[in-house]
Amino acid sequence: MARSKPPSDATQLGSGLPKHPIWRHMPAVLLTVPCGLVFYEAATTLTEQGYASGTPISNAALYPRLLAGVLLALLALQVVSDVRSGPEAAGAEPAAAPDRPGQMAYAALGMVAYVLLLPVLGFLLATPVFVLALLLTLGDRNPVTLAALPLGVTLGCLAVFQGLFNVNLPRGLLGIAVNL
Amino acid sequence: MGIDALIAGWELFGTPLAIAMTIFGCFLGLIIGVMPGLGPLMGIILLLPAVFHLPPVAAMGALIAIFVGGSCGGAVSAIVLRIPGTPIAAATLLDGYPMAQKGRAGEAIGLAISASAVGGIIGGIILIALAPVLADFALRFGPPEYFALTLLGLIAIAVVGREAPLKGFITGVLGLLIATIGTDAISNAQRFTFGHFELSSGFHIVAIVVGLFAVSEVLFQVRGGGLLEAPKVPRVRISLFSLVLLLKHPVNLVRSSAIGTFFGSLPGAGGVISAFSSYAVAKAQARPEDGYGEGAEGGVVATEAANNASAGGTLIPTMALGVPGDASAAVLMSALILFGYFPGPELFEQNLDVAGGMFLAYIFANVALAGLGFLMTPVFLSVLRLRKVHLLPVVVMLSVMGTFALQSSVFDLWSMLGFGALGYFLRLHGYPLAPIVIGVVLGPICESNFRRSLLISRDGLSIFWEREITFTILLVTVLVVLWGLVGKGVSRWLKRQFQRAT
Amino acid sequence: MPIFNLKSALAGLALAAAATTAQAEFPERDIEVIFPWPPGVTMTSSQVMAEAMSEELGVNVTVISTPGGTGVKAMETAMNRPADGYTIFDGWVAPMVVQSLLGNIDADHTAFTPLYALGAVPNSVIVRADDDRFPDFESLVQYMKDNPGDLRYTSGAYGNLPHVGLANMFKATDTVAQHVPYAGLEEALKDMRGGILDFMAGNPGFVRANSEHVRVLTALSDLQSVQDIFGGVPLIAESEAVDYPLTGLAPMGWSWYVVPNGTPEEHVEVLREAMAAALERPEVKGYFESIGRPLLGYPPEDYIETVDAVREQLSTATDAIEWEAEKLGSIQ
Repeated sequence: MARSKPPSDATQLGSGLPKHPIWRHMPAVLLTVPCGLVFYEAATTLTEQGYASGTPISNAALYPRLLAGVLLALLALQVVSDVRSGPEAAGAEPAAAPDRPGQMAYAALGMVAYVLLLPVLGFLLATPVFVLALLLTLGDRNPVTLAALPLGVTLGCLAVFQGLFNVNLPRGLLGIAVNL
Repeated sequence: MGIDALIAGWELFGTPLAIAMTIFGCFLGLIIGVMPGLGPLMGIILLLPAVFHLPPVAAMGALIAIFVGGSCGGAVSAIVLRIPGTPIAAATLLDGYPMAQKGRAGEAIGLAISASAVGGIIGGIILIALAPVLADFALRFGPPEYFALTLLGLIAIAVVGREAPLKGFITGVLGLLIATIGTDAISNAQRFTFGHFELSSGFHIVAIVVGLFAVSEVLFQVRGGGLLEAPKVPRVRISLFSLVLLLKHPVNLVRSSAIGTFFGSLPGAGGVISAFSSYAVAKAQARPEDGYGEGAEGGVVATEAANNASAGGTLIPTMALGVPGDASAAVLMSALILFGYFPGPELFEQNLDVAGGMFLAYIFANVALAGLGFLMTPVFLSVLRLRKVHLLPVVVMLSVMGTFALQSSVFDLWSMLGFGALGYFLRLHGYPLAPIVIGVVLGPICESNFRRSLLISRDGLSIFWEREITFTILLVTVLVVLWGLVGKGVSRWLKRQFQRAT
Repeated sequence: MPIFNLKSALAGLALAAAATTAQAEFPERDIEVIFPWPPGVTMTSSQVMAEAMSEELGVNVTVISTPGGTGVKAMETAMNRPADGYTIFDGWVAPMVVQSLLGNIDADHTAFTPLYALGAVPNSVIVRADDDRFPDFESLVQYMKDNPGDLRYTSGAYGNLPHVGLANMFKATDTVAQHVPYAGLEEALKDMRGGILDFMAGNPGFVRANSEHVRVLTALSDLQSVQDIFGGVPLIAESEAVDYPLTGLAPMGWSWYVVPNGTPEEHVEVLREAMAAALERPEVKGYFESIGRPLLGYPPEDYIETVDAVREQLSTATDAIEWEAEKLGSIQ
C-alpha cells in the first residue's frame, strides 16, 4: 500500500483490542467463511445448473474453487507463522495515545442509520440531521459550524449531484424534493 | 507513434472542459495531498463517481491530475509541519523540514513543486515514448500471456517492498474472489449472487474502493482522536526564485526523474521506493558540504522529482499492458474500463485518441501543478488549518452521494458500508488493502484469459509452458512468490550462518 | 449531450424554490433510461436518442448503464422501478427474448409497454483481411467440413445473439468450430490477427473501424438493406452452401424503448409523442447512419407482432448453441 497507506497507520491504533489470543487469528478465521461459501455454492447451485463441470466454457466453478483452495492454504500459513512468531509480533499493534473506539462506533452506527433512513426520509430531510449528528458525535460544539455545515453540505450535494449530474436523489416516502 | 497519439489525443483533450477539469483535478489533488491522511488514492476515489458524468478524456484528465497533484501535495505539509501529507512525501521530510527550520520554507516548497512538475514532465515524456512501444510488443500476447502477466502484476504488488507479503497474497486472492461474484462472463452462470439480481454484475468497483479506503479511513481518523485540533501553520511566501534554485541541480533532477519513472513502472514498487532510492543516490553522489539531512536543496529535488515521475512510470504498464502498478493506477484503470476502453494494445490500436488524451492530460497536469503551486500555496496551507471534525462529514457525504450517484442504488450504499467494515477490520490486523483493489480490477482479466487459454489449448495446462513468453513470465512469477514467502527467512538464516562463521 | 447543466446548478445553489410536492404536468423531473450494456457505441446511440427526447420533453433524460447477466440485471432493475413514466428500459433482444427463452428471467417483452423501436445491429462473418485460406464464405464452410472442430472463432460473449446466428450456420451446414468467448470484439480482433482465432462475428460499425484488418465473408441476413450497410457483401440467405434458417430481425440485435406495464396511459402518450418526434430528427438519423445501424422506428402497435415473430424463430434457434456444444464434444 505504498501510496494509499495513510500516516494514521504509522501511529498504530488498537488499545481497544481484546487481549484474548484468538483475536489476532480473527481475519484468518473469518476469511474461511467466503472460502466455505465458494465450495458450498459450487457444490449446490452451480452443480445443479451444470456450471461446475465440463469444458472451460461451462465450468464456472473451476476458477473460484482454485482461488478458494489457494486462499485457505495461505490462511493456514498465516496462522502458523503468527503462532510461531509469538504474541507481540502479531497484528495487535501497540496503542497510540488517543483512542476513541466508542466515538468511532457511534460514527459507524450513524452511517448505517443514514443509509437506512435515506430511502425513508428522503435526501433533504435525512442529510442535515445526519451531518449535525455526526458533528455532535465527533465533539464539535461551535454553534456556527453546527448550523452552517449541515446546511452547506446538504445544499452543496444537492447542487452538485442533482444540479450538475442529474442524479435523482432519494425523495423518501413523503416525496420531498426540490426541482432544479 | 507517441507523436501520433498526441496529435489524435488533442482532438479530445483540447476542449475547454477537459483542460478545466485537469486544472481542477490538479487543484483538488494538491489540497487532498496536503491534508495528512488523505493521499492521491483517496482523491481519485472521492472524485471517481462524479467524473462518470463527463466525457471520457475530461474525466480521465481530472483523475490523472488528482494523481499528479496528490503525489506532490504531501510535500507541503512535510516541509511545514514535519507531517508527510502522503507516505510518498516521507522522504521529502529529511531535508525539507530542516530547510523550513532555517527559515527557507518558501524556497523548500517552491523547490518541491517545481521539481515535482519537471520530474512529472520527464516521467511523462518517458511514458509517451515507451507505452506505445510496449503496447505494440504486447500485440503478440495472447490469452496465456495475459493470464501470466496479470498473475505477475498481482503478486508483485503483494511482495515488493512489503513487510507482510503473506498478508498481501491473502488480500490479493480475496480481491480475485470478490471479482468472481456476479455473472460469469464466459458461461453466463450467476455466481455467488444468492438470488440477488443487484449482484448480477458483482459489487460495483466504486462501492468497493470507497468502502475499503474512504469509509475505513474515516473510522480510523475518528478513532485516532485529535479531531478538534488545529495545527499552527506558519505563513509562507513562495518566490519564483525557487526555479533558479532548481536549475542548480540539473543532473540530480534528471537522474531522480529517471529513477522515479523506473520504479514507478514496476508493479508494487511505486512512489515511496522511488523517492527513497533517488534520495539515497543523490546523497551518495553529493559532497559532504552539501549537508544532506540538514536542509540540502538536492534532497528535496531528488525526492520530489522522483515521486512525481513515478506516477508517469506507473501509467506505462497500466496503459500498455493493463497491469496497474499500484492501487491508484488500478482505480484509474477501472475508470477507463467503465468508460468502455480496455487498456492494452487495443487502446493504442482502436482508441489512440483516448490514449493520447491521457498522455496530454498527464503532461498538462504537471504544468498546471507548477502554476497552481506557485500561485496558490497560501490556499493549500490554509487547508492545513481545517479541523478534522469539519472535514470528515464532508468526506462521508462525498462517499455516500458519490456511490449512490453511480446507479441510483441503495444496494451500492450497503455494499460500500460492508466494504468499509471489511477494510477497517483488515487494516486493524495489518492486512494491506491495495492488493484487494488490484485483485478486483485484474480478476475478470485473469479468469477469462485463464479459461480462454484452456479453450485454445488442445491439451489442458500444457499451453502455459509450451509458449515461450508465457513460460518466462510464469517462471518470474514463481520466483517472486518464493521470494515473498521465504525471502526474509532465507536472508535471516544466511545472516545467522554468517555470524556463526565469523 | 449536456454534461453540465450550469443553469440548474446555479438554481440549486440559490434554492429559493421551496420543496414542491404538488402534482404538475408530466414530466416534472428527470427521466432515466435503464441501459443493459457497458458504455460504448451502443450506449452512445441510446444517449443520442435520449438527448433528442430530452429536448422534446424539456427535462433531462439520462441513460444509466446497468450491465450484468446479458441484460437481465437491467431488465429486472427496470421492472422493479415504479411504473410512473420516469423509467424507460432500452429493451434489447438479448434479455427480452433470448434470456427469457433460456429461463434466466421470469418475464418477457409482454411485461413492458412499447414506445418505439430504436436501432438494429446486423451481423456478419469476418476473417483476417490477408487470410487466403478463405477467399469466400463457401471455402470457410468447406474447410470446416474437411477439418471438423479445427477452427476457433468468437462472437464476443458466449450465447449472445451473434453466437446464436453463427451456431445456426454450423447446424445448417453440419460443421463446427471452437467458440472462444471474449468481453469485447476489439480484444478478440487482436487475437484473430495473432492467429489464435480463425474467424469471428462482426457488426457494421466494427467492420468499418477495422477495415484494414478484416474482410467480410457474408452478412447473416436476407435483407437488401443489410447488404447495403455492409457495402454489398454476399448475403448468407443467397449462399449455395447453406440453407440459413433465420430471417428478418431474428439474426440481428435490436432494441425497443419500453416502459414497465402499469405506467399511466397519459404518461406513455407523452413519451411516445416525444420519441416519435425524436426519431424524425436529422441528428438522430445522421448518427445511426454514421455508425452503420438501421434506425427501425417501428410504431408501438407493431411491438407484439414483431417481437413475437423473432421470439418464435429464436425459440428453436437458441437450441443451435446446445447442438454446437454437443457436436464439438463428440469430435474431441
